[in-house]
This record gives sequence, C-alpha cells and structure tokens, in this order.
Amino acid sequence: MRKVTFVVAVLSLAVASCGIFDPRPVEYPANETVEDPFNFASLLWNTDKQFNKLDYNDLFTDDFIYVDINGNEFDRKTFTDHLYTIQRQYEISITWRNDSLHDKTIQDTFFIYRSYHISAVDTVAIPPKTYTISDQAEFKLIFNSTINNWNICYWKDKYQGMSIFHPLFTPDF
Amino acid sequence: MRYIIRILLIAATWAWPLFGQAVDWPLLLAVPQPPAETDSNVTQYGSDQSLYIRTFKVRDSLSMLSNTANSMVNQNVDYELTNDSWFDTKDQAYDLSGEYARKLHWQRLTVGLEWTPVLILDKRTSSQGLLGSVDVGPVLSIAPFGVPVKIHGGATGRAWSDSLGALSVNQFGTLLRDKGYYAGGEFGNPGLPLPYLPLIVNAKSYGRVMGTSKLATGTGSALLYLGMPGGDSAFAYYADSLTDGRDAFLGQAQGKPHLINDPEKNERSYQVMAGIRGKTRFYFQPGVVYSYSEHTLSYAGEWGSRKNSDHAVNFLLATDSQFFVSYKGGFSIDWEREDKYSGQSPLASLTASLDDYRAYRFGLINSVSKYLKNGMGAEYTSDISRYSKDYPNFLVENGDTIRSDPPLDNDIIVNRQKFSLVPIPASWGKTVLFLEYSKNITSYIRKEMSANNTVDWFLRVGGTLDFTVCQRCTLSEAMSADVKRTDYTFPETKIGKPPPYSRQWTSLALFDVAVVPWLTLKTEWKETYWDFGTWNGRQYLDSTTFKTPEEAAAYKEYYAIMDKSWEHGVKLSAAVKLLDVWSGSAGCSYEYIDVREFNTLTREYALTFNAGSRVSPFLTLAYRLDRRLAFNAAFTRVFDIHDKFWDIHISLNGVF
Repeated sequence: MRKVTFVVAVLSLAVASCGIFDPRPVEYPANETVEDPFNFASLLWNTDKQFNKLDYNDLFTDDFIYVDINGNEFDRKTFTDHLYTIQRQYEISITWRNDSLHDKTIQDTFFIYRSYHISAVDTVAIPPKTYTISDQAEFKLIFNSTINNWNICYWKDKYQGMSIFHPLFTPDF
Repeated sequence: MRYIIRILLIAATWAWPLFGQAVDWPLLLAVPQPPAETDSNVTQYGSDQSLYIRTFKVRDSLSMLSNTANSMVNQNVDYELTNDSWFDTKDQAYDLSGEYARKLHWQRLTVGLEWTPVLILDKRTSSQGLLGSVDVGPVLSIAPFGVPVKIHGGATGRAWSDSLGALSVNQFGTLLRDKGYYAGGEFGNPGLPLPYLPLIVNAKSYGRVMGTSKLATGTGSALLYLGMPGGDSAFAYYADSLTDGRDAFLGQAQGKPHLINDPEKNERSYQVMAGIRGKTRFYFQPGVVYSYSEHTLSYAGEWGSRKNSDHAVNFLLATDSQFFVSYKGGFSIDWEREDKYSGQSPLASLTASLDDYRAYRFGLINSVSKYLKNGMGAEYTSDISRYSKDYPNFLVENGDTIRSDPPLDNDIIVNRQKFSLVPIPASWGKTVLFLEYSKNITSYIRKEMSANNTVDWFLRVGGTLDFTVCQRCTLSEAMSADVKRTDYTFPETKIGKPPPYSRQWTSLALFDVAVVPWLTLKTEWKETYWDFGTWNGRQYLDSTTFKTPEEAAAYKEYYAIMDKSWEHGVKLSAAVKLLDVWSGSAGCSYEYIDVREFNTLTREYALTFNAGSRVSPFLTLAYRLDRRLAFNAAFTRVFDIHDKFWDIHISLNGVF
C-alpha cells in the first residue's frame, strides 16, 4: 500500500509541476476588441444554460423571426443586417434582466421573458446624441446539438413603436 | 510562493483521502445484457396529451403483435400533433408501418411483407405542406447458428407539396410525386455474441433509388472482449455510420412550410476504442482506454466539407472495497482538430481553413470518500481541466496577416473542488454539509480578444438536513449560499465597465405529516434571495474620478448592486393513496417575487414590472392496474402577474 501511495504522490507532483494548468502568455489587448455589443450572453445569465457561440449565424436559427408589437415579422438576414448597422453607428450599453418565474424549459426548447434597458450613443451625430429605452421581450430558444449551442428562433419585442432592434428603426431623439 | 502553494494544492488532490466524484469505465466497453424475451402476442397502447400555455401536444400509439407457431403480424399506428397557437402552427405526423412474416421452421427462416406508410402535414399561418412516403416490399430473415440475418427491399414512393391552402389540403396545391425502389439488410443482435466467439456484431443498411435522389445509409458496431491469462480483461470496439446521397424533409422558410432538399452529401462517423481493465492489485484496479473518432461531412458541388477528429487516452484507477478509503480517479488527454474545405475555389478553401482549429484537453479527476458503519463520513472531489484551442492558419494579403475573425485561440482552465461531510450518525437523521469552490480562467491569446480575458471565482456553502420528527412527521431542509465574482485580466481596458458580481441564498423546507396511512399533508416553503451588480474595484475607475490624492486614497472598493430579488414560495398539498392502485394530490402553491433595480436618478431600488405573485392550484391523479393500465393526469392552473394559463398533462398506457 505504501508503494502505491508513493507512486501516486510522485505522479501528482510531476503533473502539478509541469505547468499544464497555467494559461499561455497572451497578447496585450488591441484598441479595438471583439465584444458582444448587445450583451446577448447575459440573456442566459442566472439560468442553467449558456451560449457557446455568439456569432449571429450561430446565435439565431435559419428560420429566426423578429416580431414587433404590431405583429410584423422580419427574417434573420434582415434582422442581423440591422444589428450590424446599429453596432457600427452606436456605442451601445444594454442590460437584460431576467424574470425566472417565466423561464420554462420543454425538452430542447427554452422560453424566456426579459426586460431590457438600452443606452445608445449616436457617434455619427455631431454632437453625439443619446437614445435610451426600457421595455420587455419574449424569446424562444432551441438547443442545436450539432454545434452544441442554444439558438434564438423567436424574438417578440413589446416596445410600443420601433425599438433600436427593429429593422426599420430610425432614430427619433 | 503562489507557484509552490499551487503545486501543494494540486498534489493534495491526489494525496488527501477525501474525494468524491468518479471516473468510470466507458459503457461502450461493457458486455451488454442479453435482450429480454418478448411476448408472443402483445398489444401495446399509449396516449399522451399535454397543454402548456399555448402549446398543445398529442402522441398516440398502438402496436399489435401476433406471434404464432407459423406466422407473425405486427402493425403500428402512431400519431403525433404539435399545435402552437403562439406561432399559429400545427404539425401532424402519421405512421402506419407494419410487417407480416410466414415461418418456415428451418434455421428460423421467415418470408413476408413489410409496409411503412408515413404522412407529415405541417400548417403555418398562410399555407400548409404535406410529405407522404411509403416503402412496401418482401422481407426474408434467417438465423443460421442463431445469428439473425434479415434482407428486405421493394418499391418506394413519395408525394409532397409545400403550397397547399391553409384551410384545406385540396386548395391551391399540386402534389409532386416520385417513385423508385429500396433495399436493406440487418446482421447480428446488439445484445448477443456470435457463436463460439467473444464478439458482438450488429450492422444495418438501407438504400433507396428514386427519380430525383439516391440515398444509402448504414450503421454497424463490433465489440470484442477477451479474458487475459493474468486475470485482466481486454476490450476492442468499432462503430461506423455512413450516409451517402440526398434526402428531403418538410421544413420551414420565411414562416411557411417548405420542402427542403438536402444537398448531396457524404457523411461518415466512426469510432475505434480499445481498453485494458486490470484485475485488482494492491487494492487498486487500473484501466487504460484509447479511442479515436472521426466525423467527415462533404457535399457535392460548391458546398464545403469538414472533418473532425479526436484522439483520447484515459487512465483510470479505483480501489476495491478492502482498501481503507474509497478512491476513483484518473486523468485523460484529448487531441482534437477540425479541417474545412470549400469547393468554390482555392482562395475560398484557404479562407474557410482560417476557422480550422487544433485543440487539446487535459483533465485530472480524483474522488475519495470514507464513511463509517454508522453513516458518518466525508467526501472530497477535485476536478481540474485545461482546454487549449489554436487556429493555426492565416493568410497574408497586401502585407496584412488575416486570421479567423474573431481569433478565438484560447485556454480555458477549470479548477473545481468540493468537500462534503456527514457529521452525525445516520440513525439520528441524514445530514450533509458541503463546500464548493471553483476558479475558472478564460484566456484568449490574440490581442483582438484578450481584453475579454477573465478569472471567475465561485464559492458555495450549504447543507441538507432530514429528520424524522415523530413517527408520522418528517422534516427536511436544504440551504445554500453562493457568491460569484469575476475579474478582468486587463482591467485597464475596462475602465468604467467593472466586472459582474452576484450572490444567492436559497432555502427549501419540507414538512410532511401522515395523518392516516392513506393521507399525507405536505408543506413546502422556499425562500430565494438573489442580487447582481458590479464589483467596483479601484482598477476599473477612470483616472479623472478623483480630484486629489487624498480622495483616491480614501476610496474603498465596493459591490454595487444593480438588481436584487426576493422570491417567497409556499406550497400546501394533501396526498392520498388508496388500495395500492389509486393515488393523487391536490393543493396550491403561492409565489411572490420582489424584483428591484437601482434607479440612478432617485438612488433607490425601484420595483420592476417583473415583481408580483403567482398562484397555482393543482390536482394530480394516478391509477395503476399492473401492466395493463396506467393512467396519470396532472392539472395546474397558473394565475400570473402577466398571464394566466394551463399546464396539463394526461397519459394513458398499458400492455396486454
């Protein structure tokens, strides 16, 4: 028994001292970094799920639909093109707050209800103008086992009018 | 110093006699149990209905099997419906597959006929789609030396339309048709070895040729197990699956049903695994497993292709019951890679290959526990892993180096430790106290992503208590508190954006009183406090925040709570059990959630629209009469701050 303990201890020290659990040296951050401008990762905070990929093609399903308060529907391409446009034009700060009472998982489908608060600064305008709104949205997510990621397939915006997410949004400060 | 402490900590995960989580021998390298004998004549039925908010689902099935000395008939009737009034969709599927076989009493030879009619009907707001298919043909099966072999084939047909009217399938639509032939076969039984060999082989294949498409699929596996002279065991496993050709399915595009023709593709997955499981020596049973898996997907034409491969070696060690502590552990090493190729042009292939990656994973898991005969004891689990990913390919264009966008080369290092303790004898009550700690490092290598590098700390303490208060009263309590803190590795890039911080405390108390043997009153009380905000450390402040050095020196780091909530929940119910066949419960739950967010103008925590209550009366019923009849029903009506809805589930099934 002592012999086995000794071998295990030697193995332990060998593994521990080889630095295998140390991260590699990293490059110092560039001025322009890749981020998650709409903070979509936080949609699943405080749930038992998370997004493994935040690229819009992985985040939204092929048949994704954005629905505004009046029931108008927009497909993924229209919607994500709009996201790219506004993230170029605005400096966005967004907070998603969850309501765990409404979160519901049925097999590979996850229904969530979130409120959001957006502050967007129009960096193109001179001087820059700030746009803020708060409201709620419903989401339906599907788990895609192929890419091991939760995808958003449905987004219903409750904002009375056109929120910044609306593909036909025009700033009205 | 930190380095030495880290070495000691990691070494301790091997040496301390208090671990918990196990590393187990892979299930694929275990000899399966022989399949149970099926009844000669059996009718199996099931009906499952559910309604949740606006989604209604039905799954009905009936399967009849008549098996006599001279013939066998099997007929299935399956129906599925998903009606979602939220999306205004209605999806239905019918399956009437069946088989007839005549037994010829030589080598278990049978000849017969099979039929597989399937109809899928999907309705959307403005139109509906239909896809019907049928396979009909002869079947021949034989079992020389007890090894089952089956071949089948025949005619196949398909009809579809994705432009039918929303109200009637007769409106507007024109059915398109296709026909052809199919053939397939099966060999072996996944639960039985071949005669005279320690080898289990099972393979299936199916091929179909139609006017517009060809498809071939096949799956197979083989497991070899050998006992070695010294008492050790050796296993080898091979599994393969292949799909070649094209198929079509009823999907959705732009919110309407659409028959989607898969492009012609070749997809193959295979896995080779081999392992040696040693006999117990010096109280320890060792094991080593190597596996290689590969998945390739290639499309004809302009679509690209992809190949994923993974080598893995796993070393396992476990104690036998004679050792003074119980130990299970080991370490594993994985190498994986992904390669992509685009058929469009050499440049497109080079661009596609920017997302190719190479990765390796090293995991070290140890679990040790020691329990006394009276139930007291402790467990310790250590789980440390590293996952490193590299995107080695790049292009040089006009002097610029182009890499994958974003460049996700990263290291993820997870260190989880858990200690649990049972401090009192089991005869007094069941009590477990636990402490969990984890530190996760997410480290992106490239400068475009490294500003997002974080270190997350998580700490949870808690315990569970179960006591029998009196002969008919039981009390249990589960409580835990946890805190999660994040730090950015480069805080200077996050000035004005301090990292998240959150805390949670939960308590769940249960009190049951058995008033009489058939009636139990249950009380459940749940409390949850949660807050979320940012850790306003000095390093995340703008240099202009302070006007004087004294002001800067006086600054104290703090946790700024942005949101917080209290959830209170009470559930009262009565559970009844009668005559061993009837059971049921009725009661009501009440939840109140107080959600507040910090208002920067008023400097107060204001109630949000989420705050409010939910009342949910419920009723459950169950009747179980041996295997012939089982009925379950659950009805819940939810009155919510935003909505009121039903959550209903009814099922009926049995076999006779």
